[in-house]
Amino acid sequence: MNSDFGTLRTRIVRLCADGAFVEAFLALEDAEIESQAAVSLWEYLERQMSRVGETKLASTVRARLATAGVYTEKMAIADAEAALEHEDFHRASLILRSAFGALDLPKDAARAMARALNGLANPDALVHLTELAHAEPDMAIMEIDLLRAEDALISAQDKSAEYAALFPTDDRFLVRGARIAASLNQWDVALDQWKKLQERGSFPRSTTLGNQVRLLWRLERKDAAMDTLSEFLLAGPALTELIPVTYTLGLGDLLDEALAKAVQRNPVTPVPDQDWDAIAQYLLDIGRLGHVAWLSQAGIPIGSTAQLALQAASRLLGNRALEIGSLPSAARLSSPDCLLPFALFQRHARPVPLPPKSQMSVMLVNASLVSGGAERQFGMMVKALLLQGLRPDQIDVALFSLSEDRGRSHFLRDLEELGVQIHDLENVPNSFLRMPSELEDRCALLPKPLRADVAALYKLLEHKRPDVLHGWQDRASLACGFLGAHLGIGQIVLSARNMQPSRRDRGLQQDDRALFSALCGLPNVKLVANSRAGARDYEDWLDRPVGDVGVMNNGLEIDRFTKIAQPAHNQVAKGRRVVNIVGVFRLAPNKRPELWLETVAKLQGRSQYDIRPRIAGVGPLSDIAQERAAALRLRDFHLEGGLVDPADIYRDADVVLLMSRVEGTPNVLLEAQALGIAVAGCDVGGVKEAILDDTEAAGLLLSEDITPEDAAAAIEDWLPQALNGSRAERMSFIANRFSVEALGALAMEYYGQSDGEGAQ
Amino acid sequence: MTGARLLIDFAGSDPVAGLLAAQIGADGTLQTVTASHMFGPQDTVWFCSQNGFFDAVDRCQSTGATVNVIVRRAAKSPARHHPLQYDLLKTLVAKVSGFSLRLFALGEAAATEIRASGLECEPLVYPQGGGAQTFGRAEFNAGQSRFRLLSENRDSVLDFDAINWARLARDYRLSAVQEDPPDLIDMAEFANRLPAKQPADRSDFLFVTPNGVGLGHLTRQLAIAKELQNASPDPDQVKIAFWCFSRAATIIQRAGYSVFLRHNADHLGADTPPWQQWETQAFAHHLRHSRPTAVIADGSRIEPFIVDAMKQPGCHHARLFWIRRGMWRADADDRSLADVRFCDRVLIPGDLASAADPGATARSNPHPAGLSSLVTTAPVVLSKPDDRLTRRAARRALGIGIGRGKTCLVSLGGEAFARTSIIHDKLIEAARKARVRLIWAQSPMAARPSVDNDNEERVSLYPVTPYLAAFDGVVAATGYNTFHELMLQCTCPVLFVPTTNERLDDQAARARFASEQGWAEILEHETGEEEEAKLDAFFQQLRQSQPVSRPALRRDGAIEMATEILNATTARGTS
Repeated sequence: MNSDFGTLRTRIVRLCADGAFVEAFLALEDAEIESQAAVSLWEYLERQMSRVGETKLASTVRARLATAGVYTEKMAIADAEAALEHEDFHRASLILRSAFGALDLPKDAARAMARALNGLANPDALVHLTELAHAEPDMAIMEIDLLRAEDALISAQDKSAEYAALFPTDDRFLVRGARIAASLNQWDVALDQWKKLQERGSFPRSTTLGNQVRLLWRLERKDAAMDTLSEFLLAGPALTELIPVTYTLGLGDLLDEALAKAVQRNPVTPVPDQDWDAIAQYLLDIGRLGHVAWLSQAGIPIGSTAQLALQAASRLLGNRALEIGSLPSAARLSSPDCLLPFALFQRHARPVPLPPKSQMSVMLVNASLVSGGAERQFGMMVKALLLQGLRPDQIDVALFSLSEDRGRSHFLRDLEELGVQIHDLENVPNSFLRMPSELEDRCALLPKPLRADVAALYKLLEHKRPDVLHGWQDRASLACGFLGAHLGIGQIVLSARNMQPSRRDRGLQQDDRALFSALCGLPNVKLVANSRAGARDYEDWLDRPVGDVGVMNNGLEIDRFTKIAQPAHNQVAKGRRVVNIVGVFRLAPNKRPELWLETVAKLQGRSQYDIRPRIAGVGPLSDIAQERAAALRLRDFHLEGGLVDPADIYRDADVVLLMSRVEGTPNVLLEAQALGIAVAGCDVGGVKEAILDDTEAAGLLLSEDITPEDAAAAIEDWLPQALNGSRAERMSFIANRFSVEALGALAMEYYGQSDGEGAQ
Repeated sequence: MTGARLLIDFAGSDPVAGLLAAQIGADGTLQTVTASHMFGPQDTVWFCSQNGFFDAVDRCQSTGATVNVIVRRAAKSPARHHPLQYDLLKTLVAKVSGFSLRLFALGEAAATEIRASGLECEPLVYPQGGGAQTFGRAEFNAGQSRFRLLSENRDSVLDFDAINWARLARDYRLSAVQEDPPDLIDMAEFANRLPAKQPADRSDFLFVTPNGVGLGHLTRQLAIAKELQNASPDPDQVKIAFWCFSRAATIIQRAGYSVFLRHNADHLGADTPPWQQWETQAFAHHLRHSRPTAVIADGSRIEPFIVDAMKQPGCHHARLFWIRRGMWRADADDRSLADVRFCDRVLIPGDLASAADPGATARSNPHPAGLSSLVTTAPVVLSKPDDRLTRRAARRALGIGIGRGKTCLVSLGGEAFARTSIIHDKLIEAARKARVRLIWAQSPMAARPSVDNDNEERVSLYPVTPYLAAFDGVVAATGYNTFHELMLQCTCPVLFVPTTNERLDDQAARARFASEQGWAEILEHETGEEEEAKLDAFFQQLRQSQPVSRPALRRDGAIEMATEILNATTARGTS
């Protein structure tokens, strides 16, 4: 026996040395030695096989050993790693849990467990990464990515910074940092990170530049964006990098040119298949269905997702629609336009009749609850409905995201206090509910944001089937309109934004005109804006008759303001009356903070009064505003972020000044006047309708394109009247026109619960 | 080190590339930029738009090349994003290095606008331009991306991307209105001022021969080629070549013409899209460098590679002729009739049986005519009456003896043996009974007979018509050429055995018509009729040696087609 065993051992060692693992395996099998007796040989064989990557054979050997009751921790890790190789994360986690338990795993096991749980999108993976991440960059990256997946962006950002310092040569941490900062709307921070990466030189230059271009464009720094864009082009970007940049900037001709050239070149210098896959996916995501069909016709490997979308298109539109002669003609086939107009009641459900008010159910949908005027009004809308006698159980509120780290739950507590049911569409419980096949096909062709919103909303809407579906702002309106029309919701109200989307510079982003227009053509859909000017603007854009778009003014809780209203302070300093001019706005480009600062600077230079400026607000241009104020040598200037209480925001204001380029009905002007404060603003959107006029207490309307000099002159002329005008008159103006009660009454009309026509 | 190169970089279907080539590409050094091109100091590279330049600017850096960029105005109204392109170009102009950069505009108005944005550019207008003799007006319909073509007797439409605009500008004045996008206005101005075409010192005709089932396409083309040469006062100044996919290319070579033997995707076992791209490039290269005055295609459609190649820069010189016979089967797909829009002329060879034509070509074409006009000629046949041999000479040439016995030619086309094996034995038996000797004509393209019988007498002849006097009767398929050569040049009894295997040609309709007219007998063996009785009756008729009366025609379709082609190609226009 011993001699046989020795011979066998020598043979096995020799065969392993020759790489003849199968023969070695068979030799052990043929020897008919019980596993228990030959454990050392089987273990040796397993180690050798694992060492050279014969994972499948090694796995079989381990199974033999396990059967024999010999299964070491090392083997468990090897088995788990083999499962991970095959992306069988569940099996890997089971093996590791069986061998090591759930906690305090040794390093190798913890690493494998973290990978397994990460693959299962299980946040418990973080537990196993705590120690590993500080020693191994791959584990650190995994930890950051897990935090991102959990939407714990601020923690992820902190970790990125921490690990970037710990692993200073690893670019991935800066990349993560940049991407997380962009997700948090910290665009300047993201920009800095990409610049750092560019300076390092170890990361692809075109990638860093492309990201910078997009951030600069968002920040409306066009000169810098152009400069960086030219560097980007000189760096020879890959098509996958170029296309998103052209889309962001609206350079559609360049997108087409680059695509056509890449297709021309492809037989000689092929774009990698996975890149074509990504490009086709991207084009599909931006609604360029014709481009995808054209690529497919040109024999480009567009990947399975795009292929499935083309099959859906073929079922819906017919094959002829997908025959694209040339790239310029591809532009004619875009989504969602190709799905329009809606076939009224032919294939879609007929709207159900509305029940009486006491039985009516309403679902309100908005993108999020960030700290903004539109979101505040969203909450006000819910209050207004309750004031109209609806019970909280009649109202459902759905939000596409309530991410705390992204600031999307700012008004959540206020809303919760109202007792209505709130649905976070990002975190709906898992349950399988498949759309009807035609709707599924239509959905597959939608541009990505709308596709994702429709998919997120579908299950809830199908489950609740509200009598009234109210979409708030363009994004939610489109999803509500599209889905509501298909599901036959009785009444669909779409609260548009303050101006037609085409007035905003959105690059090549989807033109929603055709979809809005098709929705307006449905009898159970009503589009409303929050000002007459906004309504007219949408009518022009959609080519609808005057009066077709309704008006639903903003609502204000008047009591809340009358309670804290203060008399004029009449403060005098060094013989001059002190005038506190306050700006309350987000520090974003469309609010024109620089124009505001320059106007006030000119006013300080010429006014008989002691002008003391203050801005209450936060935003991406905070730092720039501070720098600009310093450069203008503004006296007594304060920039205050994070104020939420109106008593703090408007505390000593004599005048509230708004210089926005874009506005609907600005809440800030309503609130200021509700407190009796004089207001001035540029004549954009619904500003004119929000300002008291024709009386001694009237506000000041400035022209849209006014210069700082002219604005300062006009304000100086108006200030005596503003300071002496009746505060009560302003308060009364707001109470009469912008109360929550008035808002609720209008809403009920649009919900079909009144005989009257919608207010125009 | 390569010599100086003139390169045009363009994307897909940008019409400016074609127009630009018509203006600058006169010296034959023109190429289009491909992936394999690395620019060097000897190169002059034209970008047809700033976007093309943006896409390739990294490849221009430090090459020493001369780079010319045509700065384009907005192609859409309103031009929301266009100023951005100017800004980007300005930024790039200040940054690029290592090559010489010049900016151009398509016209004066464009140059003025571009200069106002701070870019230095010069108008790209041929100083003595505008010499084209125009046939009509091409009005832009920007919304639908197509032209409305108007002339004395034409009102048609043509998609913007259908053809090379330099071809269009040869005959039409492009007409824009103020409301059109600025880029269209500029292109019209540019196209209308292209230099006038210089008269060619020689005629160069390129026939494109598909790989048909039989020899029909090739035979018609040879007939026309012969007449093109005959019609020329100096045949040496006529150059005729064949871009040939037919496996019978040797016939063309024997006739004395140049052949570019090509392989289609099936021959190569290749996928169609890459083959198409390859063939397009090869054909475009040929067009660009050989500059034929006419491309003459015969087939049921214009092959996409011809259309795509003729759209390419420098490939606009030729006029495109489509020889398209009628008698399509009633169930045949008629979508290819839309190809008329690419052609200058559609030449229809007359068909004696046209009264029985059941197909799409006999009806009004639902597709827009585009550039083309349609001309129907007399039937086209290769052999002329003068080519015919006497019975004695023919039989001697065929080596079949000069006995008194009756002889019948069996000519059943390119796939004769494969197709007729069902009646093979019946035919032999009927001939034996009637004491008629059968001579089997073997097509140059025929496969070997499935029944290998050494007793069968075979002759392989092309064309067979001159030898018809050797026979007392003919059993034949009803392809266009066989049918017309027999009906116009033979008086002996004929039995048609039409095949229904043809994808497009309605042989049965043609044969039935001939039968109804008393010109021939018909054996539709695939319909299961009494074949033996028919064959017996035919051989009895053959034995009686009575001439059969058939139509006489003085007109010659090949001559008429050659005349059409010569007239169209000698008209003046832009280069």
